[in-house]
Amino acid sequence: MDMLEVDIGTLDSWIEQLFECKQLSELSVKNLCDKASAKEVLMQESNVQPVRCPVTVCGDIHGQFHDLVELFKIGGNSPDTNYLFMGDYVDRGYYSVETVTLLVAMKIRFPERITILRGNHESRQITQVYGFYDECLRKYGNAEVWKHFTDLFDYLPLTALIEEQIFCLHGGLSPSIDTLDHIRSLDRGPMCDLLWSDPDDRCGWGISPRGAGYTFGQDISEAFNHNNGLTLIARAHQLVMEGYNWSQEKNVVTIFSAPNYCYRCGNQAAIMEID
Amino acid sequence: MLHPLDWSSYFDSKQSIEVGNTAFNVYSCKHTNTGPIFILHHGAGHSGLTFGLLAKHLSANLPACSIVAMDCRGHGDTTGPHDDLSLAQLVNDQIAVFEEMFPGNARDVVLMGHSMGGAVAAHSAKRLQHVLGVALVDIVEGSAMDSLHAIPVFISMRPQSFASVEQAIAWHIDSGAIHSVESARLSVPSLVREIEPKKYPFWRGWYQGLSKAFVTAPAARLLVLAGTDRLDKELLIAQMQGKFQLEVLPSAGHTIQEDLPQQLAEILMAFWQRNQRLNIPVRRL
Repeated sequence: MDMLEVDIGTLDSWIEQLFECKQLSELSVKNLCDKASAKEVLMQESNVQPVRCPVTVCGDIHGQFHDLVELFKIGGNSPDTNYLFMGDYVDRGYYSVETVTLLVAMKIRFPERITILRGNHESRQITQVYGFYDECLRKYGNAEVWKHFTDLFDYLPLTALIEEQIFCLHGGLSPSIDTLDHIRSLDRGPMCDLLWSDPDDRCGWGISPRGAGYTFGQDISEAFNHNNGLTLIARAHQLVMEGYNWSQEKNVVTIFSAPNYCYRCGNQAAIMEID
Repeated sequence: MLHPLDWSSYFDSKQSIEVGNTAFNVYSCKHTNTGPIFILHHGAGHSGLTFGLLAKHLSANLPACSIVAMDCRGHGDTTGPHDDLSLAQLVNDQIAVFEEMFPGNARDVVLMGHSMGGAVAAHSAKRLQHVLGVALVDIVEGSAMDSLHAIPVFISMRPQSFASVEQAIAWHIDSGAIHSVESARLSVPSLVREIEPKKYPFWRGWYQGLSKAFVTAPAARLLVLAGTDRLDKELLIAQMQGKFQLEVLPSAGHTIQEDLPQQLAEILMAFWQRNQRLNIPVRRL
């Protein structure tokens, strides 16, 4: 297969195969990332990608493929249900390859129906330590597939905005960013704080115990929401035992969509439907 | 040549600190009155010299810091009773030696411990003033508890004696226990006198409750692991809630401070620097 565009039939057959948890061939992954205009599709999106209702918002997946299939059963099939995923598709779970391949294939097949943002694990450095790199080596015998995907990760948008009201991103706010317009003007690529920060009970900005990003208090999220005409910040990144957690007087909600994280944490998962 | 190296190229002083009927051998660097104090605690069967290369990198890059690496009870050149190697005793020892060396301290303290020493660091954090950070090096409660049964076998597989110190150094390098020839030449000579089996009864107590003590330590928290990410459930949940910094060094062996001393020094300095004060970037409007 050596063409500039991958046709819809091929994409559909790939998606069908992936839903059975069968990985694509190395060549198909290459074509998916390079030739099926994945980068073009993602590049056209804004760093604050507008999203319309109804949409179902999801948090971390982390290679838990079978839980992702369950998520689609509960939330509704794509493209009948619109989805917004807030990053962290790979690492730690056993099926990062199948998970990220499926989500990218779905994004290319139904670009208006599914939005995939970047998480802190969509990174060359992090994936070499937390499993995705090793999984690619194990399943393909070389690092090409890892390379195709990590190159593609640089094109993922950082945030989304649902109906001008709900601001969605993986981590949280940054002290160097006050407005959505500022995020729109950022170069695509790593914007560390947006992917690493966490809300905190303390006011103001704090040093994040993670070693990257910041913590932000309710005063910060209130001011950000007020200044940008928002009602809510929806984010993922933190494991919450109930799967979701309202914080900072409902200025912030955390959604985590990997149940029993890493097959041993005993947490529930959640998705958030916005009508 | 694998002849032993002397402590004096790595530390400024080697002194004896008496606490009760025990004389603790303590290596240290640069007793200035500013900068942070790094208190390093070695693991079971090691000695303060395991931190020699790390100390050299730290003091070269952070001239104002002080570094303290003692030989704990029953180890290295420390002399005195060593029947009680319980966690509580080791924590008391570390605190007593620190207070003897830095009476009325008001400087930032960073506690770091390797392996068993990580437990001492985590449990000392609540007992000392001005602890800015706690750093654990290649120790996880879950995997330590899982492997307790294998340790006697591991020890029995090690040679019972060596014909010479050079041969002991060579064995530690050839077996992969220590990757750095320089560090093995410095640290191994102090290990050869060790009597291991006495410590069996204390192992469980060192590690039980370590994850909880670490994630609730009233300071910034850093965990540095060799090889692979292998957190137990409590640490995994805490890490995924953003409660500590995790660094994984795939190419290091268990004795990270000897295998990658420069890299560990850089991580430790960045950890201290990041947590000492908050510099908020200038806002762009």
